[in-house]
Amino acid sequence: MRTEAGYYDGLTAGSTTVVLSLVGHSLQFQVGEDARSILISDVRLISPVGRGVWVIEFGERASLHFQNDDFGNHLSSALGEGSLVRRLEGKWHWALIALFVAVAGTWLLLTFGVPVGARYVAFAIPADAINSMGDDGLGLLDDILFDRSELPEESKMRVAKLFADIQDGDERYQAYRLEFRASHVGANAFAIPGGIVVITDDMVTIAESDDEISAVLAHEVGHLIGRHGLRILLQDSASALIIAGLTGDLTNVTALSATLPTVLMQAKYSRDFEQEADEFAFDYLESSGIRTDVLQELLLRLDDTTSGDGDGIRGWLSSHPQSKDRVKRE
Amino acid sequence: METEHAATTQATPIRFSGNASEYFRIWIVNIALTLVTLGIYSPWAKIRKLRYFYTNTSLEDGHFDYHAKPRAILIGRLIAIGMVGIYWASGYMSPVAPFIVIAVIMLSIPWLVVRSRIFQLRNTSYHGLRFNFQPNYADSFKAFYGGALITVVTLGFGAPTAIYMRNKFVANNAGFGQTQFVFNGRQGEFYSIIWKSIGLAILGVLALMLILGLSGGLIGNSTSTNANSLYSAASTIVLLAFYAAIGIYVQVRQRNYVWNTTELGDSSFLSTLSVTEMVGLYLTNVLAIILSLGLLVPWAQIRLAKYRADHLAVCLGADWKDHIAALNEEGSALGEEVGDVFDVEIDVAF
Repeated sequence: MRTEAGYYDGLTAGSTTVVLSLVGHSLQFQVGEDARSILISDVRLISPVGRGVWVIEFGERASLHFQNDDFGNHLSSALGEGSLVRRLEGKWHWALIALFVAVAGTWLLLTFGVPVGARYVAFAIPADAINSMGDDGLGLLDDILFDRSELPEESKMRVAKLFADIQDGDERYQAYRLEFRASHVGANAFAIPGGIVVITDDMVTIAESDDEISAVLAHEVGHLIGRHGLRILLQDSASALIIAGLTGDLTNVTALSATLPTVLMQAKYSRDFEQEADEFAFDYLESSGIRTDVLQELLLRLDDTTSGDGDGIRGWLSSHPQSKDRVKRE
Repeated sequence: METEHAATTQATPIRFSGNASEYFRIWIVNIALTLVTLGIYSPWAKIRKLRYFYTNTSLEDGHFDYHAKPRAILIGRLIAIGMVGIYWASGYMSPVAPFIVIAVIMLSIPWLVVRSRIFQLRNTSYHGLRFNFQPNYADSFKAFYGGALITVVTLGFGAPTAIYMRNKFVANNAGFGQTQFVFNGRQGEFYSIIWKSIGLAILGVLALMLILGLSGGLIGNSTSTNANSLYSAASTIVLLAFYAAIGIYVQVRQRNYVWNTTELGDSSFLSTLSVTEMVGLYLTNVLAIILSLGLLVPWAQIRLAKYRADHLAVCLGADWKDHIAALNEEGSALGEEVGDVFDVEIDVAF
C-alpha cells in the first residue's frame, strides 16, 4: 500500500514530496538519493480531527504528512490502534446521541448535582464556624443598607416574643438572634448567614397582625436552618463555572450569550430556596394553629404597595416565586 | 531586480477549510465526553478542538498543527482549580486572605504570561516546524510592571504606552524556529486607537441618551409596567451591545496594527479585518447562539475563524523555507491554564 506524502525533517521549514509505502512492518520512502525504512513500532501515528491530514512522527522531530484516509486507516489497524473518539465524531447518529447526553447531562448536573453537592458542602461546615460570620455580614449591611430602628420598645418586645416562640421549636434555633433596623429598601426581612434575622421597621408596621409577622420570621428562620445563604453562594459559583466551562471556548464578546443561562439558572436556585423557606414557615404556622394563608396575604399586600404584577419575562428572571403562587400547598 | 521585488511582496492568503457541520460533531462529542467524565476529558477536548482549527488553517502548501499533550494541560488545570480553591477557602480563614492570594497571582502575571506563551507557541507548528517563545522573564516584568506603573503615575492617560509595551514584549519574544518576530510598531498608534475608542464611547452614550430620552418620554405616558420593564431591558441590551462594539473596535484596530508592523525574517503580514464586519459578525453570532439555544456555537466559531483567516495574508520572503528549528523543551501548561481559569487579561493583539 502506498500514498503520496510530505516529508518534513522538523529542523527547517522546508519539505519534500515522497512516495510512502507500507511494506510488512516497515514504512519506506526515498528522500533524494537516500532510501529510508522505519519500523512501524518506532513511529507515532496521529489521526486527523475531522477530514484532514494524517501525521506520522518519528525520530527527534521528523514527520510525514498525508491525506489518504485509506492508507491512514490501514496503518492504524497495522499498529493495532483506532480512535474511538474519531469514530464517534464521524457519524451523525453518534452526534445526536452526544447531543442528548450533553443536554440531559447539563440538566442533571445543574438541577440535581449542583444543589446536592452544595447542600453536602454547606452542612459539612460546623455550625460554630458559620455563626461567627454573622456579625461581619450585619456590620457590612449596616454600612450600606440599614439605619437604627425607630420602632417603639413595646413593638420590639412584641416581635421579639414572636421570634422566641419560633425558637422554642428546636434547640438549634437558640443560636439565632433577631435585629431591628430601619431601611430605605422598605418592608423586608433578611436572613444573614451566621444566624441573624433582620426585620425592617416598615415590615413591622405594614403587617396587620402578629400572625403575619410570625410568618415572616419563620420564613427567615427557614433560610437560616437550611443554610440557604451559603448554599446559594456555592450553587451560583458552581453553576457559573459549569456554564462557562461548557461554553467557555467562546471568545470574550460572544461570552455574553453565556450570561443569560447563568442568570436564569441562578434565579431558579433562588426561587427554590424561597419555596423551601415558605414551606418551613407553613409547617410552623400549621403547628402553632395559625392560619397558613397569612404569609401569602402579606406578600400580596406588599406587591400592591411596590410594583405591579411580574408575569411573563420578569417571572423567569425573578429571584422570588410569584406571590400569588406562594404557599400553595395541599 | 523588478521581478524579485514583486515576488517578495506578493501576499499569500491564509486559508481556513473547517466546516460547521463537521465541527458540530467534534464539538458535541467533546461536550458529552467532558460531562460524562466530570471534566476529566476536557484537556483532550481542548486538543481536539484546537487541532481541528489549526490543521484546517493553511498557508501555501503547509498547514498549522497543535501538539500539546493532554497530561500537561490536565496538570495545569488541576493546579489552576487548586488555586481557585485556595482563594475560596482563604476567605473563611481571614477577610484579608483572599486579597493576599489575589496579590500573589497579580505579582506572578509576568511569569504566567511567559509560561503561557511558551506552552502555546512551542506546541504550535507550521510546515512541520515549531514556533517558539523566549523565556525572557526580566523583560516580561519590565513590560507588565513598567506599564502598570506608567498607567498609575499618569492617572490612566499613559495606558496606551502600557498596551504598546505588552504587545511589543509578546511579539518580539515570539519566534518561528530560530527566527524571531520583530515588532516595528510605534506608541502613537495605540494612543490614537484608545483615544478614538473613548471618543466613540462618549459620542455613542450621548446619542443613546438622546434616543432613550426621546422615546422614554413617549413610553413614560403609558401605564403598563410590563412595557416599562421591557423597555429598560431593551435599553440595557443596546448599551451592552454598544460597549461590546467599542471593545471590538479596539481589538480589531490593534490586531491589524500589530500584524502589519511585525516581520519574521524577510516575511511580513497583511491583516485587513474590518471593524464594521467584525461587529456584524459578533452580533449575528450572539443572536444565532441565543436563538438556537447554543446549537449554533460551532457554526459561529467556524465563521469567525474563517473571517479571521480570510483577512490575514503573509508576504513570504524568498528564503522562508530556510528557517531552522530551535532546540528546546515543550514548556508546561501551567501558565496557560492558570490564565484560562482566572481569565488573565493579557491584552495583546498577537
